[in-house]
Amino acid sequence: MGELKTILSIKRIRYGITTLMILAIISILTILITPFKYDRITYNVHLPPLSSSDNIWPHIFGTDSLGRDVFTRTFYAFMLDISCGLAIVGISGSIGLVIGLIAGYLGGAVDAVLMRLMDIVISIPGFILAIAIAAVLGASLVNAIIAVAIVTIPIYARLVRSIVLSVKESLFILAAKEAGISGVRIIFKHIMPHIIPMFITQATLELSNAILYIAALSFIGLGVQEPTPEWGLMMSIGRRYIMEAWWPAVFPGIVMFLTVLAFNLIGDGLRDYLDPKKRFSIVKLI
Amino acid sequence: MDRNIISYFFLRLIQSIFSILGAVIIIFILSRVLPGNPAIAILGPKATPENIERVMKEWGLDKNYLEQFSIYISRLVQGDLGNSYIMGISVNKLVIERLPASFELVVFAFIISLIIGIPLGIFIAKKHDSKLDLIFSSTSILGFSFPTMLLGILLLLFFGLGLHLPVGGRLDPRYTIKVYTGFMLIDTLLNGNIAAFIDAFLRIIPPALTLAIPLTCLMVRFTRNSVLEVMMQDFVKTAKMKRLPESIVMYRHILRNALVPIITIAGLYFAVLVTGDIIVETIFAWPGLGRLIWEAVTLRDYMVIQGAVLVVSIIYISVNAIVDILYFYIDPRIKG
Repeated sequence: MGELKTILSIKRIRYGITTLMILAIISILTILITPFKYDRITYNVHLPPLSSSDNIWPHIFGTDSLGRDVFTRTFYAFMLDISCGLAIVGISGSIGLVIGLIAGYLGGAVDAVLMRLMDIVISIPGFILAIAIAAVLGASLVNAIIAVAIVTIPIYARLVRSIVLSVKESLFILAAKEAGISGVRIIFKHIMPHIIPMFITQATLELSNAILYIAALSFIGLGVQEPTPEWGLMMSIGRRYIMEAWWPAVFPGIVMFLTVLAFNLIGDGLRDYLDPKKRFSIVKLI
Repeated sequence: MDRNIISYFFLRLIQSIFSILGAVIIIFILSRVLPGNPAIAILGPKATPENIERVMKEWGLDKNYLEQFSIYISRLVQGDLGNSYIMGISVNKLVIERLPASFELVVFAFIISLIIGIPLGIFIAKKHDSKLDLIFSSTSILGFSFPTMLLGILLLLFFGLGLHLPVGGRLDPRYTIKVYTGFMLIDTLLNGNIAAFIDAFLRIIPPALTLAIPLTCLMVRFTRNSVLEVMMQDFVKTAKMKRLPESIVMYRHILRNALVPIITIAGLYFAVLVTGDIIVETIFAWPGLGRLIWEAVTLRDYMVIQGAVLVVSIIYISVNAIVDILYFYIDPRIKG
């Protein structure tokens, strides 16, 4: 409990969590009570922000090129993008964790093979590889998630392996081995507690990356398809009419920026908290 | 020491070749092992039976995977990326046509971020713990959380609608320019057409800035940190105590050592540039490799996607190798 209090006392983490909470509440309220449907096409094309509608609510962010309410779509997209991010981090994080644990704990040939495999994946720029995978699988949300997940596995695998290697030779592990405790039990009882903090920090930072990847894939036409609301796709369509109406492209971008920023702030704060060398200076600085 | 560099150079070269081979294998597996006829993936859903047969023969798709791979590799080694049946020309030609445009844009962006980022980083390091430093340290995270897409669209609006400058494309089509190097900024000058040069220059600024702004934020942050770290070390204190002029301490003692991590970061973030490049070229209709990938995705032209992905990966792997060798050259303390 005390530790949680210390973590929450870091301003960056507090700002990040507050931003996310506000966005999430707006998003839930929007989904529950909005009078507009996210995919209903109307004649009210490119109405500017705050223009009045037939309903009690004005079009807060205006309407897009098909007359759909941009505010409603942006906050539906919030839920979609966050879920995509979580799915990607969940899949690639757990696979990366297993690979890292096996490679680090077993060592030898298994380690060499697994890590060379990871090196190959990492030697191609992530986004480029994700494009190649998503293009083969076909443009859809699920395929985009799979593509990004595959590309980000090595990040976790390398992190977990390095932590395993650093604690593997310590006395308490050797003692546990001597005492005849099984490998699986050593991994879960003795090694895992060392991995979890760094792993969660990395996963938080990767969450913002995952969201950017999904949006970027959708932006170039390889992810979410119309009429599903997704930030990248909304910006990609808004871009075509940018000289007539800026709002359908800019507002989703701003909400995406705030979301990504929030995760980065939390991740950054956590990293500094975990690194005792930096902890002092951070408390002093911010 | 020279022998060390040479052996490191070869080691790194072999490593890079293996990486490239790995990339080739991944791309080959992606195109072949997945369910369905790979010829249809190559030709797109509207493939005619004659074309399917032609592609099957050309790439040996009726043989086993090992033979297919050897055909694939032997064609790649000859520098043949295959033909785009949808765009109707060879992928090689497409890539070679588009490469200079991307290169020009990325290099321009890189130069902007170096010119602004490093001096600003040094300036902030000199004034560390001041208000300016505090403001920058707490806001620099804003800079690299900013999505390229949003930044690009905002700059497009600012330059196009706000300042009424020409945006989109590399050059106004009313100028006819004889191509010498493929780099528009150089070609227009070689043609002696100043008006065209100004037009090309104005058009490269918004996309280059989109790429450069996040990179500059990173440069400033890393320069500040690594300069600060070196400044605290004993040999710098000694130099200062010897009453050496401050500029000599700065350039000869501090900067030379601080540059090592900066170069590494510059190399690492080349991948960020590559990713950003695809988005930026799409937004600004910049006819480079990124735009080519986008066009290929839109047309579902897998041959082009595959070729472009391979070329970009090879460039990326080579840049990283060069950076590593440079790193070794600057700081001989690093071994392998």
